[in-house]
Amino acid sequence: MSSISKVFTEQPPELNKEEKARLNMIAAARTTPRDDRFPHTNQALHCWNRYNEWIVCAQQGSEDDCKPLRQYADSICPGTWLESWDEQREAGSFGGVGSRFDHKAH
Amino acid sequence: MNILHNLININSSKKNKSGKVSNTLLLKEQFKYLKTTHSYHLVDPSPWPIFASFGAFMLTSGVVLYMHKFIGGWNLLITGFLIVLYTMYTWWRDIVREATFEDTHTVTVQKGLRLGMILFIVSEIMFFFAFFWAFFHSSIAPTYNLGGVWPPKAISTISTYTVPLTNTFILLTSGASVTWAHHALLSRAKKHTLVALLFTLVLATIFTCLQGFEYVNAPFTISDGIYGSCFYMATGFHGFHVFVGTIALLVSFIRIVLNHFTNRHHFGFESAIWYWHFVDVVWLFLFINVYWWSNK
Repeated sequence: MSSISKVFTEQPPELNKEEKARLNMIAAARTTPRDDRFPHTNQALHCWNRYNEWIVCAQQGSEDDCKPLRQYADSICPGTWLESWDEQREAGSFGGVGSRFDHKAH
Repeated sequence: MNILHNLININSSKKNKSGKVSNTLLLKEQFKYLKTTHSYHLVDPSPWPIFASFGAFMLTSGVVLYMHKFIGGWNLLITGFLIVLYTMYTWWRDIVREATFEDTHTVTVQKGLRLGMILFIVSEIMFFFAFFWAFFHSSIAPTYNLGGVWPPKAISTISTYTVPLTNTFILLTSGASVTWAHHALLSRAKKHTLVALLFTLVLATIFTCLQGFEYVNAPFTISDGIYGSCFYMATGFHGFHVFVGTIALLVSFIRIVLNHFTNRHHFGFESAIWYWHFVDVVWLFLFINVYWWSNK
């Protein structure tokens, strides 16, 4: 890599305060971390898994402790899916963790 | 133009179809006696192809109209279906007559029929290929809607080692018994042929009955998600093919009783046997993937 830096003799231009703040904001941005159980492009199952993880956490502790897990679900899942699953949980028709099809219920 | 005027010479005291006493044939009667120097079969004019096309048109348009709740749709469907069924009987009956009684099925013709049957079976393989594609697409990477698992969370599957395993043994045994029947025919042992073929037909009927019993008593229906759709489309079409194969073997049975075949020339029976083996192989694929691998 050091050999490549010798190609560019000019340094990048200095950033002003606003640009630096924006750059820091972008650099600090985080999203749902990788889950090697779902290596493929289609991350739907990953989203499903994160959402159910959050539900398990919320059932065991308080909802506030589980904010990071909810954030992971919010980042990876489509908003429409989250809305409909939240509605289903309120109505009792949710098919994931805690439903009658969950193996733990047997 | 009476082009065969000087070639055809029949007994002059015989009356021809037009009622005239003549030693020549009308042009319309000459096609029955045309001689060729090649060994292919130029088929006599027949109404069955166009009948079949009328029937198929009525059947297919009747199906569409019925599904869209048009008045008369069902009647059109039934009429078309009966015409197709009748044309199948008459057309194939004519082929049997041409082969058995009119000696038109030379070795060359038989080769063409063999190729035709092979290509037909290949097309049927492609038909099942599509349903197996759908099955593997959905089962290898099951979506969250199914719970991320296969078989889906909410599906209670059919026990593999009771009826499905029995059916596997039934079809494999029927493949062996139909081979026995064929060898008996090759050895000119008519009674053995009939016994073996009857045994095959009995096994085929038992298979169909067991599948019917499974269908009636299954814990899921065709509308139970992608699992139900894949299961019933694949096994349903397979069952239909078993039915068709059983009819083909039954027709062969009747023709053996009526002494249509020789030990060297029995392509109708051979093609039915090929079809039966194809049906057996498809069942093995079904059993391994849809029943055994997809079980809980």
